[in-house]
Amino acid sequence: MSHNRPPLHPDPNPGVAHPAQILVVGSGGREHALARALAASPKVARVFVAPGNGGTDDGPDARIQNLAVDATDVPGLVLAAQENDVDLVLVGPEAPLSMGLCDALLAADIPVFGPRRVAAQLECSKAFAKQFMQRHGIPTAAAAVFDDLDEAKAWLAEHPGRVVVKASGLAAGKGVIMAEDSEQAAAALDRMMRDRIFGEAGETVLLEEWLEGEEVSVLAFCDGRTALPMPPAQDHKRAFEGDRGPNTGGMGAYAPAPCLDAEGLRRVHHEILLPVIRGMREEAYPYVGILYAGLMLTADGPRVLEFNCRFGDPETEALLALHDGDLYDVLDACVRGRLSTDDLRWKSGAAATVVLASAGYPGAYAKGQPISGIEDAEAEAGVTVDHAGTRRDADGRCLSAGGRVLAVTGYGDDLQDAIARAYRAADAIHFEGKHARRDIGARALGRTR
Amino acid sequence: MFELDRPHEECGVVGIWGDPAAEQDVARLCFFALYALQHRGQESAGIAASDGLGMTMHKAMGLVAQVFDERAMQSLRGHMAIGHNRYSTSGSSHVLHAQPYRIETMWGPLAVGHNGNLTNTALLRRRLLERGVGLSGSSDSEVITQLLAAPPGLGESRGPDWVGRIRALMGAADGAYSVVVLTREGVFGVRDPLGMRPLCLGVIDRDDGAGDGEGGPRGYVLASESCALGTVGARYVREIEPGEIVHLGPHGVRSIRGAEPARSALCVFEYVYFSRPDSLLEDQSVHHVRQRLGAQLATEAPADADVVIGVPDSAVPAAIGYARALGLPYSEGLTKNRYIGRTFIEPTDGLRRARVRLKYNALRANLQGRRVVLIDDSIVRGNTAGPLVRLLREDGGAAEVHVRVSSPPVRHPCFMGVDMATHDELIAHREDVEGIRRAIGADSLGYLSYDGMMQVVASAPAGENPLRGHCGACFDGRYPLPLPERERSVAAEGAPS
Repeated sequence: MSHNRPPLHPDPNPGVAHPAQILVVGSGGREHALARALAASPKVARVFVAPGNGGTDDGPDARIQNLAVDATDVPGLVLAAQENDVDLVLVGPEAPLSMGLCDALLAADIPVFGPRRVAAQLECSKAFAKQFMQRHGIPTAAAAVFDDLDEAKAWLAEHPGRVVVKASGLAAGKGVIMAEDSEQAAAALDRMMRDRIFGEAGETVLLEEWLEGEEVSVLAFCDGRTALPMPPAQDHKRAFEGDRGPNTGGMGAYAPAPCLDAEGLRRVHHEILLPVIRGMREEAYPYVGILYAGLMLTADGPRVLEFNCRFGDPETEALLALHDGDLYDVLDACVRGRLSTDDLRWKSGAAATVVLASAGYPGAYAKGQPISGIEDAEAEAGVTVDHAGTRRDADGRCLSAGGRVLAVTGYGDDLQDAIARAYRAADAIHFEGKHARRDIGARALGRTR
Repeated sequence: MFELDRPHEECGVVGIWGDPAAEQDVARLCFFALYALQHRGQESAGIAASDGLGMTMHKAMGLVAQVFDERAMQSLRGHMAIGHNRYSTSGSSHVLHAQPYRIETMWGPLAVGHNGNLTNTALLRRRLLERGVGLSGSSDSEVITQLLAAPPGLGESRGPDWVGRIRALMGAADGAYSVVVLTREGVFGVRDPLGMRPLCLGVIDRDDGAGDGEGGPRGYVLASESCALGTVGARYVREIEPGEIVHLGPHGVRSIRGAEPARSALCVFEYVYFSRPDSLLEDQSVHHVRQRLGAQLATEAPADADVVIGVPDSAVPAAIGYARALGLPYSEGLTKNRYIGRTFIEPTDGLRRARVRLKYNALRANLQGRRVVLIDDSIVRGNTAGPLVRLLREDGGAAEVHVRVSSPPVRHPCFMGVDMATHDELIAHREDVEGIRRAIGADSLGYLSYDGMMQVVASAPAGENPLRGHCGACFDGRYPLPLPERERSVAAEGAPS
């Protein structure tokens, strides 16, 4: 391939010459893991995290430090990036993407790793994403889009049986209803379109074919013209063992997911990721950032369930444990539109992440519980502990401050080894009401045995 | 007549769709985009605008700034517009041939702007005339317009099928065409399957880009060169691919494959001379490519000298690249009167002989007693290089003048829309390098090699397109498409026996 050829001449747009200052937007375990990976680069002088958490708050002169700006304060973030001479911004969560943070940063000539608002429609508008996939022949569940309740119900009457009801807009992960029959589907439509439980996000609704198979996520680095995938990952959304209980932000994850082999990943790359990036460029939405494809592995091949426009949490913690190389180099190549296959390498072995949550999560839970044992946990070989819902008190002690408190990641020779390390480390950490699922990766282990 | 020894570019095109809700003066944007593309054609200019129902147009002979005044701009209404700057290559110099062309069709008004040159115009004209379609002039662009006025083969049962019509055009037409089309249904952009002429896409973002979470961009812009995008506040997105049709409308940008892509053949002279240095071609900066052409020239044809100068403006980047590669100082040695090409007053015979002096002056302070390398981007007829060398010696006091050219010798005419010359006029067709050196009176003469040039040009980023290629027929005589009878005989006449 011609892009493997060394350039004949020096890059006319060399990146930042001095050690870079980076701003990571967000406050979860994902942002801690990203900040840590970036701070490990010799080309990076400092990583700011806005607003960050107890783990990204190492003091005013530290390599990683917090900025007291909310992740959805777009003008505040632009100002903070300017005042702190930030060379690159990395956006963690989806809300600032949907608010146009990347557009505002680019308007101020600040390089940003993340899509513009129009490109983030892939996540923020399920209707846009579905119609885009239909235009470009990208394999996905058959679906119809409605903004009229009566028309949607008329469609249900003609298509009895199981159906998936999706709110088009962002609904904090709650906008997907798996309806066993038309009655359940009609009730979901009423709640979204008549009662407006998701507000504007439910004004437009998708009725979608119910797909059977195993779910897997493939995240890819994108530079506007091409996409390079990471190893496939799987996460655990439900609160309790056996995938029971309410949906959460994610209780654990592991990678590589054995259900998608190298040939499967190649298909996902060529049938889904690359066509998406090409199509977005064709339609004037060049896509820079992470493209997260949530997939169903059906008997007919991989099908797209949804796209996210960002790193997943906690998949990111597991994936970064597998990344071999300098994350800053990869992000820099992406924002300059020069990503090549040489930029991305992965370790052999596997990684697993266990989330330690507050009892009661995702419902009501207690905050402010002192946390101990993090150093003991990190003494375990191959283990990192990323902070999610934590803060420091005036004496520098670490307290719980959210539903998902910590993400404990183990890296090992294989998945079993990685999981064992993660749990040994997780067991060394203590706080009042600590809750973790004990079966992270169990399904994959059953498969590999 | 004041354009000196350069091939002439043959038109610039613009197409803009604006969100009607944003109530933008799209024709005015089109005017400024044409203004930025003035270097691509100075003979006539025009704009057609539409509000989705009616269509208004204004065009005339002259420069963009001469063609349009406030009254003309006021008459151009609507949220869509196309524009055109012309330099005639096919069809004579007459207002009849000013573009856009506008006609009425079954589906309302249609306007077309074309950059390029068709190689089978005669055949297409005959077919149209046989069908009873009258043509008003000799231009191939009118032929394109009339072909688009005909419904596609399968008819149109469900409203206008512009994509079908454009595909039919692409099936019939051979040669170079980057076309913008204005219809009630939106603005279309088309690039020929070889991608011989550039065409790029930009987007006009909302003002702050943030906050409301609603709505798409304020508009989309098609332009021959990306330098026109910044002028109208648009952000460069990409090039239109060879063989691609794009449709700009309320749905955003739709991309349609109009013809199967072949190995592309972008005119390499776009890099060498035509395009503005601040434009991007194949996503690489034209200025940087020219610098690298100069650096490559330095490795192939170094010179023992005290100072490097370039012929302004187009050879300056190559001169800088050449000087840097050899560690020689770069300096200004010639100043150019930028307005000389814009007068219609004919010089007297005496002045005509010294016409190079009307355009350039030597900067004696930088040249006196020095051994000078003069970098030029191309030598076509060779009637400018000689006077420039004399100017540097006589007026500048240069001790030696070594001429280096950042492209290979031009030996073959162009049939794809560049007004270059006939074989007989091309100095490199008649003379070898030593003969040319003697003719222009230089102490030494060196050209960039064909392979060296192509190597530099082909180093565009992101090798995603294995079909990328370039047309260098004027250098090596290998034309990227079959030529019809008359042109073939002309080309053969020049072939080395």
